Amino acid sequence: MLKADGVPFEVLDADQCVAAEPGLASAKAKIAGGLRLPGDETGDCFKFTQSLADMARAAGVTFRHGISIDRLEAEGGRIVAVHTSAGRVVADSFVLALGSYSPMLAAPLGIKLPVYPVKGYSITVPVVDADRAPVSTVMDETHKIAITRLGDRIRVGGMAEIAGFDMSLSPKRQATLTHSVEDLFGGAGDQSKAQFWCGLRPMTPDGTPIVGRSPIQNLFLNTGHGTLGWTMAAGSGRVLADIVSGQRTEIAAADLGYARYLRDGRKGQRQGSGAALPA
Amino acid sequence: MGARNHQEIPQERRYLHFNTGLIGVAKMKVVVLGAGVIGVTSAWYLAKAGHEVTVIDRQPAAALETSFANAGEISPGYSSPWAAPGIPVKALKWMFMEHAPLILQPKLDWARLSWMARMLMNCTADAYAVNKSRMVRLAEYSRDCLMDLRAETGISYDERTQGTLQLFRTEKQVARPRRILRC
Repeated sequence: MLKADGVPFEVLDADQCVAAEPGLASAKAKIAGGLRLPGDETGDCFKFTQSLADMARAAGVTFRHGISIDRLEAEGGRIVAVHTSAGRVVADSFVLALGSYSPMLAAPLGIKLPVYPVKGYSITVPVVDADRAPVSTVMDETHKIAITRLGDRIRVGGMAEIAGFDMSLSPKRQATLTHSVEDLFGGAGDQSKAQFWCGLRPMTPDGTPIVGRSPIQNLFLNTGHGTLGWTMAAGSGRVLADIVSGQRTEIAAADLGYARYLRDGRKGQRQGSGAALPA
Repeated sequence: MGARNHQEIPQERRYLHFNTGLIGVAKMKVVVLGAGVIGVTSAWYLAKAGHEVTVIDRQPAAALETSFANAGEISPGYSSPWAAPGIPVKALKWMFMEHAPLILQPKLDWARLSWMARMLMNCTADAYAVNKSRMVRLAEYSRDCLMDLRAETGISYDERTQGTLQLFRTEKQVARPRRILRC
């Protein structure tokens, strides 16, 4: 097994690609080769999150849904409450995990989060011919599209559209996703039943999410995960919880937080007192 | 190919989650804003640490926005910054492809311009190496946490642990993987 930066990988020729993903057999002529990362996993982020929320609820977590968040109320260098459509909610500590919408809540507090929405699209189709379907994730490097088997469905996702907070669904983008999956796994899924979707990835300019403390003592940040929110969710949640609890994190986390922008930042948000911000 | 599991992870990087007795944690009231995958994992681990947690979200249930229908990969192997050497030139090419992977809407605002400028500043080899090391560290730890979470709770989510395959259509693409992984 070859390794780069500790990540195991295998370089495959076309035959080996088909051996790993038999559904590619009829597309073999289009394949020049592949790179397999055996340490990667796949799964449905929605199902995971809903199940974990149910478990958290059973463990005593309160979920207040259907409530819009207006602003954070600061007093004496601390956040004392969050103002919502259901009134003012007080707490000892607050965690900002609003993805692309995080900067709007932080900005009035003088915290400029460099998080910008990058729109992605997906289609989800039911499998009609399992022999032609992917068994895991296949990334079409040419189109930068990932095709993933999720149980009895195929998820096809990709593209990066820089269009602010626009959530419109253009048929042209769907055509790109359909083209990629039909080209490689033709006939595997029922395209007439495709569910078309878009989402706003909260991207930072340096790719790393913002996990940890903010310049306000009891406000914590867990945002800016870009395309890797699903990949990094469990670890980010654990690191964040350890920092909130004042526990030592299990991995180095000082450079995952907002402080790195105060230190590395070349413009805009240099703050005299910020440089000594702990992890 | 079961090599990826705990055998691959050096002993010092393996962790026991929970049941480790988080001694000395003062119980707090914590509000988590957002019930996407990040808010919910935060809430889960905060609750496990003994805090009283409330999650607030504008949607009627968890994971109804960006966490709803992503591509499905849990991919430490591809945890790399988009800002990389050579990307500015490639980005231009991508925008003009048929079935373009990158679309830049012409409307420009200050937030976007400053974000794009900062992204360009991160396209140096040095910045890329630093950023990538941070991302891989967190992504690999996250996969370990997820394995432990599965073992602890039995959570299921149409998961598969069979790796991922990046597919190349040209010889030029085939020549790149080592560089992609290494640089």
